[in-house]
Amino acid sequence: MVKLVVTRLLTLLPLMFLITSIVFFMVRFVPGDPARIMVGGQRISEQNLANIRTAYRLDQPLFTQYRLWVTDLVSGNLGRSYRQRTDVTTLILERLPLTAKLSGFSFLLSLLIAVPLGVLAAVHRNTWIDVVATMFAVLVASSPVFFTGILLLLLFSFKLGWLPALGAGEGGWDEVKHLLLPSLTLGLSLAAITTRITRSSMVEALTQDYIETARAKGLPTRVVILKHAFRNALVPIITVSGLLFGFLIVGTVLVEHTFGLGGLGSLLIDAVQVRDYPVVQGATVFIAAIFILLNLVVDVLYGVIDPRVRYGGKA
Amino acid sequence: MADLRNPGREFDKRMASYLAGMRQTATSRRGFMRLAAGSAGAAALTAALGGPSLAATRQVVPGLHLLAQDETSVIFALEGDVRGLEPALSYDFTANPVVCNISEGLMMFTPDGGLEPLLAESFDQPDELTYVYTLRDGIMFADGTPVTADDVLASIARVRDPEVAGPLAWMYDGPEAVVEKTDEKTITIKLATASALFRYVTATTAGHVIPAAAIEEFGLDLLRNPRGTGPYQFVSWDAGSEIALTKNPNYWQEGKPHFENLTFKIVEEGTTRVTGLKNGDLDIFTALPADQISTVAGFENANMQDVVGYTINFMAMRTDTPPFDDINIRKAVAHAVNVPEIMTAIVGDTGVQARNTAVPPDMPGSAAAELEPVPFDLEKAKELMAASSMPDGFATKINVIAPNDIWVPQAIAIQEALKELNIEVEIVQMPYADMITLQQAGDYEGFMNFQWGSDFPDAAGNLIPLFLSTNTPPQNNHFFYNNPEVDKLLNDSEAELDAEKRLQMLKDAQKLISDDQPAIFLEHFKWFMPMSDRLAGYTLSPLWYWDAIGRDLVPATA
Repeated sequence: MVKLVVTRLLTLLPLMFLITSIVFFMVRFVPGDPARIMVGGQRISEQNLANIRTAYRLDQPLFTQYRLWVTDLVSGNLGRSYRQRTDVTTLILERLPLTAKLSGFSFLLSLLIAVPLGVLAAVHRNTWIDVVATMFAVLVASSPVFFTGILLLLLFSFKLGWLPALGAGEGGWDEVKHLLLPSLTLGLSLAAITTRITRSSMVEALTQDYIETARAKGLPTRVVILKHAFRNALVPIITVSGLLFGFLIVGTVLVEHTFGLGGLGSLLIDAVQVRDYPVVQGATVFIAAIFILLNLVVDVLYGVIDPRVRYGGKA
Repeated sequence: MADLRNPGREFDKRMASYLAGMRQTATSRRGFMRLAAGSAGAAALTAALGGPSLAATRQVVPGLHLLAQDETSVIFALEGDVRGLEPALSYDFTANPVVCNISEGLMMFTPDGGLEPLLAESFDQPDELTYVYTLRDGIMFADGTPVTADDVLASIARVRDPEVAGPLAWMYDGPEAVVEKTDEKTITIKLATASALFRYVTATTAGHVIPAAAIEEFGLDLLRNPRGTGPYQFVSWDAGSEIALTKNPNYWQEGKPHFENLTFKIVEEGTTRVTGLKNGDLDIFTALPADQISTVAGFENANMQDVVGYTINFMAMRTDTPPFDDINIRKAVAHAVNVPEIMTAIVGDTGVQARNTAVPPDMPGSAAAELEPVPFDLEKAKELMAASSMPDGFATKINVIAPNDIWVPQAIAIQEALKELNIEVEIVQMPYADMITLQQAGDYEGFMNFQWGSDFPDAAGNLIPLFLSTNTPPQNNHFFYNNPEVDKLLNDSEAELDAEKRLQMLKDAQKLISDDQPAIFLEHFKWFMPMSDRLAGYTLSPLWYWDAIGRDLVPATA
């Protein structure tokens, strides 16, 4: 297990290098002069423009800028925002808790919806339950996140007045109440795929010989399904759930926009719009690192769930 | 006063962006807004879920959603994140409403377009270059320290500081203007070149006074530690989410503000702002999506103010190159487009038709009362075309910011209308950022749809940037308009101290511009401010973005 973790961590290094390179050069392909954008496009003397470019290293050759940025990055310095004139690390850390809560809550809701629904659909295959679960998955998967968000907002907040339309609340129940709609929006989108994967994994598991054996031994259906079938169906579910976290990050951008939540997603979008290179680079690298680490956690979880992974496939 | 000849560049751009957002609504969203407003679909969906009617909801589900409102607080929704909270950087529709409640200018605008002293007790302009401000006695910052002339000097220096690189620096005429303290209460600003518009600068955030000590203490971090004399003082900034202010205990205007707390919540989605107003999550906002105006107007718990802005939406014709260098063609085009029909079918309540000038009727110096809209007259249009350099027609382009629910349909209407003159129009739709790039490069032909709004209550704020021949792109003379007579009138108006004469010069300039027809002047668009019916006291003005809105708000019952 330790070897697995160390190996995976080592593969992170070239991956992170690749990501930083792509992010750095891609943002510079977007037209627009950050120095002029900093002064709002106003007329400004060339000397003052030169001062700004020097202060933010924009006068350096591209590869020198890259080298300096990577050097800073290694020492934990993500740079300073052109627009907000504040450390990027501070900006990210300010926004992170909300996005983490939103993502975590959404992920939890998606599992709470998708796993029981997928298991039920598999156990009651080709019945009305299966049809309803499939319809749910198709319907939710076909609906873009912003559309689902607006729909839920209009129904539960505008029409029914049950839940607040905006903001993150002030802790405790108030926070749960405020995050419920945005989390449900994201959770439903995630649940669509997870429901289908859970169903197909469970269907496959339920057709295995060991299930027949378990049934033949007279084990209760509940035990057969949850202990024998479900545990074996978990690996693909976890794999997909880990990958879906990337989707979750994209989703938070849209959901934060809709529900007035100032998270990492809205920080990134605002930065792209005003060519705030340090924030775009810093936030993207940060999100990429989180995504990679989560996939590492998923890999480790395989080992926990499936001994064959833990023992190098020799079990 | 070179820079003052192009006032409002950034604000104009932000305004265009803001309006693009305000007017840009996906069909699906609009559909669902209507659904929510009471369509059969919503009713069926609600009924299917066993939901009670809205009126009964709050009793049926007690405590599930407590109103955010309380009697001591006001919540204002901003449509985007705030860049920073110091006056030197506040030049947009999100930072300004916050900053203007924390700090104040030497002068202020009145709702009818006038100018009054605010922190200044008096203001004098002994000659066309000199402006003298005398501070009021007894004004204190929120922390109790008195306001001095040194604070004013430091604040203006901050706006002009190249290190700060703020967007308002142009208002102070570059490094040539001299700002000095005449005595402990008097500040004199001496310009290098006459500018009639300069008198308004100290009523904007460029004239706000903040403590010199805070500038020294916080440096660049001042944008997260705003200070001032305003009705509210800064409490906290939850980045991207909300900014909390509380009453300034040392505010100099007796009995103001009424409310203890003023909170700004960042809500980027228009539908969410509308929903928040309806269910009491917020009290006021300004960026109302055009397709939701009628929905909000129907709210029982809110009122809506609107006012025609010092704005203009126009279809510029590039007058320096064929085909629009021919005045017959420009006039033919203007007569061929049925603007009243466009107003009815597309613009609706979001604006009023322009009377062939860029200056709205209520703006000081407007010649709208003396001008007429170009009448829709296809026969005359054809006659003018026949007499033009291209009687058989031609192909051209309309450049327009998209997506947009108003500007794009307007372009299509004009495209259709011009087929009658055998003018084939290609509509080139592009995002806002691309349009700005194109405009600044001056790399376009034919028509360009654009919008403009003045920072100041003065016709010159629309005329000088748009029509002075030295302001061609990358500045804002989108038409490449060049009329020496207009130039002379506009230039002379800058140094004219007699207000009546000056305004007459501006009116004369408008008449000349109208005769030259460099654009199809479409509409002056409005500002909207939906507000909870528990509030009163603030009157929406065309320059609302320079107002301390919280200062005047009171309970509706008071």
